[in-house]
Amino acid sequence: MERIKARVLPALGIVSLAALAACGTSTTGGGGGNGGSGPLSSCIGSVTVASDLPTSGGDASIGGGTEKGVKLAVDQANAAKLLGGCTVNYIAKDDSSVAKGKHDPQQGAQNVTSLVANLAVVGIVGPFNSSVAVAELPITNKAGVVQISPSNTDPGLTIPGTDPDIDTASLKPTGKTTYFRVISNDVVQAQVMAQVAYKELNLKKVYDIDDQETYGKDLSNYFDQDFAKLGGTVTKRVSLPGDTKDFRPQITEAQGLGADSVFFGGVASNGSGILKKQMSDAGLTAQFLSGDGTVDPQFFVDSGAQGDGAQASSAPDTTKLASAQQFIQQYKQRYGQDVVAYSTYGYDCMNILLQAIHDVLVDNGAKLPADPVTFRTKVIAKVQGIDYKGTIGETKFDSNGDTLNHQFSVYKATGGKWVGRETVSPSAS
Amino acid sequence: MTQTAATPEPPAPEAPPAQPLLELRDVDVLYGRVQALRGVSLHVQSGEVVALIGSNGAGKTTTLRAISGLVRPARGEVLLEGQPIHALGAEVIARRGVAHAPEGRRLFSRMTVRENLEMGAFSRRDGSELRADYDRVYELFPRLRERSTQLAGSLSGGEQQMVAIGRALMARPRVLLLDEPSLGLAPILVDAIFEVIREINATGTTILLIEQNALLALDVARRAYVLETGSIALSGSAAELQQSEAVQRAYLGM
Amino acid sequence: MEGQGEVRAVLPPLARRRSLLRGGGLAELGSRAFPTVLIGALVLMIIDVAARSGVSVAGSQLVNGITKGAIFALIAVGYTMVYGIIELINFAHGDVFTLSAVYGKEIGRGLSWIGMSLWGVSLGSLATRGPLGLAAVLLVLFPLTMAATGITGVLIERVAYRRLRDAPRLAPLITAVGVSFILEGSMLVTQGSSNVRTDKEGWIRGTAFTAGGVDVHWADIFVVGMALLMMFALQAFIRSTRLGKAMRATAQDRDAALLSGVNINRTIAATFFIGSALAAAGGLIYSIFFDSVVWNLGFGFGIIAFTAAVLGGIGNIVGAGLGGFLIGLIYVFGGQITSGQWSNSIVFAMLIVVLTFRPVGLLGMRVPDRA
Repeated sequence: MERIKARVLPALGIVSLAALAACGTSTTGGGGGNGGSGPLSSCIGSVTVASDLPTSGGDASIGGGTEKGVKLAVDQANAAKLLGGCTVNYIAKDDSSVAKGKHDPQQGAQNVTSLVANLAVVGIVGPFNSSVAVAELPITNKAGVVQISPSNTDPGLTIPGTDPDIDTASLKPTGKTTYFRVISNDVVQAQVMAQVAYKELNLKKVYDIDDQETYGKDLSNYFDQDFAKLGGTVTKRVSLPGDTKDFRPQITEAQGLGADSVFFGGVASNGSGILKKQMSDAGLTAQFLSGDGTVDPQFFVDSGAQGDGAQASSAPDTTKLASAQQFIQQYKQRYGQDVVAYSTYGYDCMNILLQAIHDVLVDNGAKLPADPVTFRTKVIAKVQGIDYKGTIGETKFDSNGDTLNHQFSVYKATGGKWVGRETVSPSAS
Repeated sequence: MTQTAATPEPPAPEAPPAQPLLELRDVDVLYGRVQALRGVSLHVQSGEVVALIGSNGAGKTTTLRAISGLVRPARGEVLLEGQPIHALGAEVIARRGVAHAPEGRRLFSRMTVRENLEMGAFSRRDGSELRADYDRVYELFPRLRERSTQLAGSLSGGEQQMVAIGRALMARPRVLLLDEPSLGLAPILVDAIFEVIREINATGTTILLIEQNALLALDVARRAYVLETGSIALSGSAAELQQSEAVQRAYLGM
Repeated sequence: MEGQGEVRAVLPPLARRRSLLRGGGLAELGSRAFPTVLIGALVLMIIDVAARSGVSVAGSQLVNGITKGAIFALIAVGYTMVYGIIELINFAHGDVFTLSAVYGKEIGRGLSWIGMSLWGVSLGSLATRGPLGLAAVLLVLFPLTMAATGITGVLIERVAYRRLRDAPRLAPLITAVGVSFILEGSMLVTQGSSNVRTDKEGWIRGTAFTAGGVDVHWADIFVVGMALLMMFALQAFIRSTRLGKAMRATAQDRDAALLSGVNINRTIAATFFIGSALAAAGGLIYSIFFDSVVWNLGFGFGIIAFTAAVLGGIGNIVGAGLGGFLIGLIYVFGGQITSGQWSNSIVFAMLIVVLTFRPVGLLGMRVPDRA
């Protein structure tokens, strides 16, 4: 708690007629040099923040655990009166649809459309999936509402020309950066995985399968490039729909091609665990490699005991970071469960948003900017300029909205769990 | 026309000597809003051949469909041996002994001739007599024995008609409804078919027959009804109707 | 004249479409050449894979395609039977397949519970104990699951389709889509949205034999053997039993069947029972093979199996079986030459080609329309 108080100084609020209740709370000034609730004790009103994550359906385990981190950040900020006299309202949206049974870009677009139409909302944490981001970004950009993603890794979302399927400029119709992410993009991730595969695991011939989604295809593309650059051979690249349940034709082919590894660019809900199981069933001993989309408990539901041995890159294993230990404890205490891979990221995203809001309020003399559009714009500027030390380390953003923190970990499937190894930064190749 | 016909020959009120095997009382049939039958009453005595004659669209086929349960009368009753059957399902009526060789033959074209005959006997449980009945059908129509393993759809029109009648006979019906057995057949085949109809009747099967060729119909039938636009316009013994000027003019081409 | 019209009317509309194309010499040619072109294209694809990846890879892919096709075939049979008898494309049939895998899982758990309470033996441990244990398990699990699924199929027909039997054809079609949504939704709610294991891990394992570098697993033999067994049994049933004949008669001419004393409702219900029970056989075989099921599994499977039914000649049971195996091969080899992403597209392109050039399918009923 104290840590939080020290770091996050948030606050904010929309002038709401029902803000009377807030009056009584703001008595203590104080808050010492760390900028606690002191400057904002006269703040009246509430501010609304939101998240948009896939919290039901196939992504429920990982998306829901991320949302829990986000929510914990909001609750802690309110409990600590970090916004002084103002309170934080929180709206949680779910971008899974019944039609898809998992994250759905259309659902995401619908969610953010309603969020930006609500003038009380000053910022959104999310989305989780890059394909959803493609649908949402133009909407929030036009409305001038900041979005901070805990997990989007498609480089095309921020860097023009890195993903042939994404017209980066069209995601930013206003030309201004309103979208940020706290995780490195797939270019970095693929680089890490290719290095580990080629240099450390000594793999030379990969068979690459992607799941036809934006994230999966790009990850596979970058991995193929980096792996080839290092001297490895990509024996074949195939692209299979997300509902593929029978990978035997590809496994047979990989066997025939003498591949010593199979890379899966895609998410667990699109069958990475099934692929791994069928590889074992077919007696294909090639090393299974994948990216962060596979570091998901669903992988073991699908693969069972045959999942062991798989390796996948993902965001640093925050359970190993000293900076995350307190949050991990709090999370467990609050929810009675362990954090999932992105809980810390969600938590940091929301804290960054709250910090930015706080800074705006401080600048504004502890008053909520009267004009919601101005308010939103100021929050964006504060997020852009943030230097935030949170559970995942230090986060700063470049002008595209990408984090300058470039760390990844490799995880290994061991005994039905993903176990993270040390953090790896890409070496200059 | 109805008027003219009515004058010379008032329907002979032959008082039914016994309970009719089949009787329609005041039957109306509607197809949507179109009234196909209005107030049709007729009866068939056991052992008779009765003909229904009339022009296209007069309601002959509808009458047979009302009897066999393929259409449900909107009003009136259909009685089989005094028991009402018009509320029963067609398959139940079939099992009660009404066999209907429908318009257009309606064979199971992707089944063999033999299988079509088997379907005729579908609702019978008396397995032991089946063999005799197949033989009887094959005796009536020797062609069918030769063709028994061919698909019914591959037969000629005349052969198909034989299968249709044979199939109906396999049910061992108490009353056999025949809808236009001569339609589309070469004249020589028509004669043969009617010869068989006589034979069938001679062995005790009651027959209600639709025939556009009134001459033929009145030749084989004992009595007949003339249907016009859904109602009975005339009835009487075949001989009487053959003499009727109206019938001669309208249906016999004289 | 009139007689010919009658015969035409007996043919289902897909088959009737053939006459629309007649007169176009090209279409007639396409129809005649279709089987040859299809088989030729398949052979070329196989040769292509063999040339690029080696004969043993092509052989293994052949096994992959045939095993996949066996499951398509079992589902396709249900489509074709229902279409044959009431001219309904039963869109819910693929979901009945999924449902059967779920039933199989739940019934298996129930049996396990009984086994554990009485003898301390779970279904899985009995099934993996040896061939006899497996046989015992299958002999109990198959009939129970097939019966449960069959009854579900009958209920679907009774509740959703029977009233619409004489309605314009679009009505039952849309209802079928609705039933599909209901089944998928109820599985989504009860099973969750992710893949679920079916507790059949390792029931059939090991390699039966290796021929020319191609490993043939016992599971492969099981899948194909069961599918063929089911289809031959069905064929014998349809050919020679009283109910089978009633089903054929009803499919060919419902009024004539009625006039023969066939109880149409019962016959149609039986058709749904058998079609659903065969889908259940497919669902169990799939579960044993892949040990995984997900609420919307039947959607994709259903459409592909329907394509198989059309390819074989809708309404024709042998055709559905043949179509299933062919589609399985086309799926696998088509995927091989197009890096996977075109597998589905190739199958559906196939559907269009069939409907255009040979709507009666490979073994479609071509009744000589004399008369």
